[in-house]
Amino acid sequence: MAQGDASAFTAIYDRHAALVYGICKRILGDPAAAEDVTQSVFTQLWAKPYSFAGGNFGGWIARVARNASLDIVRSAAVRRREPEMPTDMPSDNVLEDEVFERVRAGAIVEAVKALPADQREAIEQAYFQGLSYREVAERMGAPLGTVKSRIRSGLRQLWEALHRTVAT
Amino acid sequence: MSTVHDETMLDLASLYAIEALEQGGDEWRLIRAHLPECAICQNEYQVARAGASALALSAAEAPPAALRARVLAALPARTAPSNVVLLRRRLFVALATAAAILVGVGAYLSTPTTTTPIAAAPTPAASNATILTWTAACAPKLGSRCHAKGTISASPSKSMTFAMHGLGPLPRGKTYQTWVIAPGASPTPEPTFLPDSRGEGSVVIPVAPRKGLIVAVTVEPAGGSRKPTTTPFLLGKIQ
Repeated sequence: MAQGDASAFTAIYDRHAALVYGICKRILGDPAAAEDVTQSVFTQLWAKPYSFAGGNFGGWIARVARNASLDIVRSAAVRRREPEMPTDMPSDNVLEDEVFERVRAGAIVEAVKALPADQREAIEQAYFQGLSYREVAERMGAPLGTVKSRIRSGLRQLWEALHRTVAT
Repeated sequence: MSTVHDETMLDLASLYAIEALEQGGDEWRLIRAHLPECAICQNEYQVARAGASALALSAAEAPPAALRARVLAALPARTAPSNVVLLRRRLFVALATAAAILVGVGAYLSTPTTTTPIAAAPTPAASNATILTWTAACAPKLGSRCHAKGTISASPSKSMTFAMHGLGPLPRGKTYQTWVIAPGASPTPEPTFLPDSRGEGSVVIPVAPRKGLIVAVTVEPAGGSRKPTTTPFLLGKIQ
């Protein structure tokens, strides 16, 4: 029985650790801190597995890792808290399932690189730096409407490019 | 509240999916109200979220091999492994290719559960790892009024993971907060946390363990305090 528990959890770790660690490292820019947050994310998953309410597990744990890392970047006086375990994500995102289950890792990197620079910059600032679109607009020196459009178009182009790789 | 679909809503759906709207702001509240009513915006939201997931995956990078052993060794002992059953069931539904992960789940679900520390079944990597741990216990003067216990484990990256159980629920507006007290020094504020429904909680304290440090837990106002406002009830000393 104990073996069964450990192997189930270990399999989950093996499948998702690169995603979690990669997000943490990208946001924090510090491998040691990324290791700590990765450990904390999986510890919380072990302690609160019921926080995952369904849907795509990869998408969910990516969000946990992102929030935990951004929390550290943003924190000041009181340094950090345990990772937030979101429970409000819709559970029927078949498009997200397709990204996680069917798209090659290499294709994803290529699709991101292929985005127009202004779109890539806008969505990366929003996602990896946790900026609102207003903050992105301020940093890029671009009108709000332009940034809204860049983020929406960039995400859509990213999805469409990946969807084509699956379809062909 | 009924909302009207227009091009602005499509932008907001996309921004909401990537969490680029100010949480609680007017636009955030508007799109949250609109999404359940509008299939077009729901589709835009799903496209954007799939795009955001692709962005997340583009950052994937294999962690150091030693982290795996560290994670498994630092997991707190479970008193209610039924959580794992629930997690497995949800993963079974969610992960189309997870069949290999879930081998034996049927047998597990039909078998009575027992207290099962995950570290009891170390992986090959874990068996070679040296993990230093210390225990934390209730302040003696609290006697039978306190049932909390904790385990502090060291990590090679100069931090401590503090896993606790037996924590009581807190009234609204209160949080648990950890502290590190060096010999002769004032307590330094460390992470706040709320326990789950089983009274379990854990935090990563970004301080390297060293002999003589005391790790403590107090009850504080939500958001945490710069100095303790109550007496620590759970204490662990690094030996």
